[in-house]
Amino acid sequence: MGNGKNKELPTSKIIGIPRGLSYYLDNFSWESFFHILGYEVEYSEDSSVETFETGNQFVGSDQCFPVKVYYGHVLSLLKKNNYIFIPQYTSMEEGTYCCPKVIALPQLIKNTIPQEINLLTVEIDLGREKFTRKNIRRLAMSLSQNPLRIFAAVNYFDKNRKRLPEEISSAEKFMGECQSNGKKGSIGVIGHPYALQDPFLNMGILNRLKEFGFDVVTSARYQRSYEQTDCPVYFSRRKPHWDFGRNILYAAESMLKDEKIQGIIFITYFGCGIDAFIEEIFNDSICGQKPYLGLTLDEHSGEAGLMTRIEAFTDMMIRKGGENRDAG
Amino acid sequence: MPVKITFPHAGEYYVVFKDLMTNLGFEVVVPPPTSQRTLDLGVKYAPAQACLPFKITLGNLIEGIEKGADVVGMIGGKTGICRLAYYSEMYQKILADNGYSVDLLAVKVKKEFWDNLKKHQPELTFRQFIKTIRSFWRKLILFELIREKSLELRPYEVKKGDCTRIKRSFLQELEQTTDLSALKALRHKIIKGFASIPIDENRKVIKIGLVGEFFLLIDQFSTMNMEEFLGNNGILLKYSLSFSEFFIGSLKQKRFLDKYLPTHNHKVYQFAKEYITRPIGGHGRETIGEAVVFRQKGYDGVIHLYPFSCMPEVVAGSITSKVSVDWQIPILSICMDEHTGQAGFQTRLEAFTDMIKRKKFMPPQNENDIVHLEVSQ
Repeated sequence: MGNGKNKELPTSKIIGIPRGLSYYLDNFSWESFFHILGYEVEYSEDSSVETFETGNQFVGSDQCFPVKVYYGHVLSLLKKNNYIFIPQYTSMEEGTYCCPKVIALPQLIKNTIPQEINLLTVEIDLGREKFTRKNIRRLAMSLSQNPLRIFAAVNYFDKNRKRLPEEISSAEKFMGECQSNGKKGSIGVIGHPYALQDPFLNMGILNRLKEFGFDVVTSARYQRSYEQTDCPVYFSRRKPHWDFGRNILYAAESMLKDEKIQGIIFITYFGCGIDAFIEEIFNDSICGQKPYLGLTLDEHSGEAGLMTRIEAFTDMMIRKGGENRDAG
Repeated sequence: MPVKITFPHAGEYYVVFKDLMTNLGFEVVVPPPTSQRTLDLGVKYAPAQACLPFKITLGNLIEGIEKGADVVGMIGGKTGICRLAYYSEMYQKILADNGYSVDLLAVKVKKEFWDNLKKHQPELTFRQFIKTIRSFWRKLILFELIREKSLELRPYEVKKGDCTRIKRSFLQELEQTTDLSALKALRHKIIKGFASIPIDENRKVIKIGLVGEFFLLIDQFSTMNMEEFLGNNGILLKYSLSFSEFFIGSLKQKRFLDKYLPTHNHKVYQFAKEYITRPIGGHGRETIGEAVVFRQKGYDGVIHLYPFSCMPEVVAGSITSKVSVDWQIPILSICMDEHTGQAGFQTRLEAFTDMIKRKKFMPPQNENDIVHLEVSQ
C-alpha cells in the first residue's frame, strides 16, 4: 500500500503524466492502473506556446517539434511534483518498432533535463508478452507493497493492454466526432497519433477543417494493420518496420480506395525521419488520383500561411469535386 | 553474358567489395569516385529529409547504372530500427520511378544473401562461395590495417603526405592481389612499409576518438577529407567502428557473446547502460558507450558525427553533453548534411582541437576548471 514503511516507495501520492508523444500511442488507461496501486494521476496541461518555450531551452535543436513540446510538458509537471511517469514504448506489435526518439524517450528526458527527476518508467513491447508483463510487475512492485494491489494492477494491464484502435465499419467512420454535417465533403487527415490529437501540434488544422464544413477522417480511425487484414499491400511495397509507418501507409491506402474521401492531408514534422521515407512511397500514387496536401510543420510555422494553404487546398478540392463549381 | 553489378562507394572500401563481387562471378562496374555530381543526383532524387548517407549512396548507384550496371549491391537488411532497414525498398522505388530498371542484391551476413546470389549466379558452388568470403574477409582486415596505420602515423610524419602516399600505393597493391598466400605476405609488407616512414616522436599530438553514424565515419567525401585535415594538424584519430565489426555485429551469435562475455562491445554496452538502456537503432547506443571507452583509454576528446535527421544519433547527440560532464571528456557533436560548408566545418574542428591542445599542453591555473562543451547547431 506504500504506507511509508519502505523508503524506496515514492513519497508522493501523485504521479505526473506528460501529455505528449507516448501518451497518445495507446488507449491503455494508466490512470486506472495507478489508481489500483493507490496513486493519483496528474496530467500536464494542454500544450501551448509557453509549453513549447519552456521545453525548448533544454532540447537539442535538431529534435522534432513534438519532442520539444514534450519537454515542456515534463517541465510543467516538475514544477509541482517530481514523480513523472514516462512509458517506454518500443513496439506495438511483433516485428515492428516505434520511432527511436519515442523508444529512448525516458532516457532522453532523464539525461538532458538538469533538474532532478524521479522517473518511473516501464519498457513496453507489445510483441513480447512475457517480457512486458515482467516489466509491469516490476513497476507495480516498486510502487506498492500490497500483493493484492500488485496482482490486480498486473491483471488490469493484461486485460486491457490490447485496447488498440479497432477497425470500425465504414459507415461509422463518418459519424463520430464530426460536429458539422459535412455538406462539403470529407477530408482524410493522415499523421502520427500525437499530431492528430494535440491541437497545438497540428496548429488546429482539424478544427479549422470542421469549421469550414468538412467531415474529417483521421488515420487514427484505421486499424493498426494486423496480419489478417485484407490490405497488406502498402502500395505494393514491403511492410515498413515502424508502427507509425505501417499505420500511415495503411491509412493512406484505405483513404485512397475510399470513394467518400475527396482529399487527403498529410501532417508531418520537420526532421521526422520515418515520414521522410514513408511520404515518398505514397505521395506519387495519391497525387495522381486525389487532391493531396503534404504539410511539414515546425515551431516556425505561421498560422496565417498555413490557413491560406488549407483554404487553397479545400477550394481546389471542391472545384475538382464538380458539385460546387461556384464555390471558392 | 555476365551480370554487371555496381555498389555505392563507402570511403575506399570499394577495393574490397570489387574483389568480392568479381570472385562471385559478377562483372563489376565501379561508379566514378563520389563527387559533387553524385551528391547532386542523390539530392535530386531522394526525399528532401532523407539522411546524407542515403543521398550519397543513391547518387553512387545512379552513376553506376549510367555506366551500364544491371544489378546494384547494397549493405542492409530488413530488420533494425533505423532507416537503413528500409533503404533497399526506397532504392527500388526511386530507381524504378526514374526509369532505371535494376535488381537489388542485399549484401549481408544472412542466408538470404546466398539465396539472392544464387538467383543471379546459378553456377556458383557453395565451396567457391566460402572461399571467396574467406579471401574477402582477409582483404577487409588488411584494408582496415592500412587505414588504421595511416591514421596513427600521419600526425607524426616528418614529410607531410608520406602516409597518404604509402596508403594509396598499398591500396593499389591490395586491389591487385587475389591470392590468399600473397595476402598473408602483404600484411608483413604493410607493417614494414609504414614502419619505414620517418617520424618525429617528440611532436605534441592529441588523441581523438571518432564516434557516430557508420557511413560518415568511413566516407571521406561527406566529411570533407577530415581524416587528412586533422592528421596534418597533429591529431591522432581512432574510429570506433569499421566494416568488419559492422558485419560481425549483425550476427546473432556475436550479440549473444557480447551479452555474457567481457568483449569490447560488452564493455561499451555496460557504459552506455546508464544513459541508454536498450538498442535504439543505428549506432546510438554504441556512440555513448564508445565515447566513455575512449575516455577510459586515455583519449583527449571525442568527435561525434551524424547526418541531419538521423533519428538514433539525434538522441545520442542530445545525451552526449551529459556524458561529457559526467566523464570529463570534451565531446563535439557535429551534424552533417549536404549544405555543410567545408570552411565552417573545419573551423569548428580546429577550434575544438585547439581547445583540447591548450588544455593538455598548457594546464590552466585553476585546476578545478571543468571544460564543458555545449554544442548547438
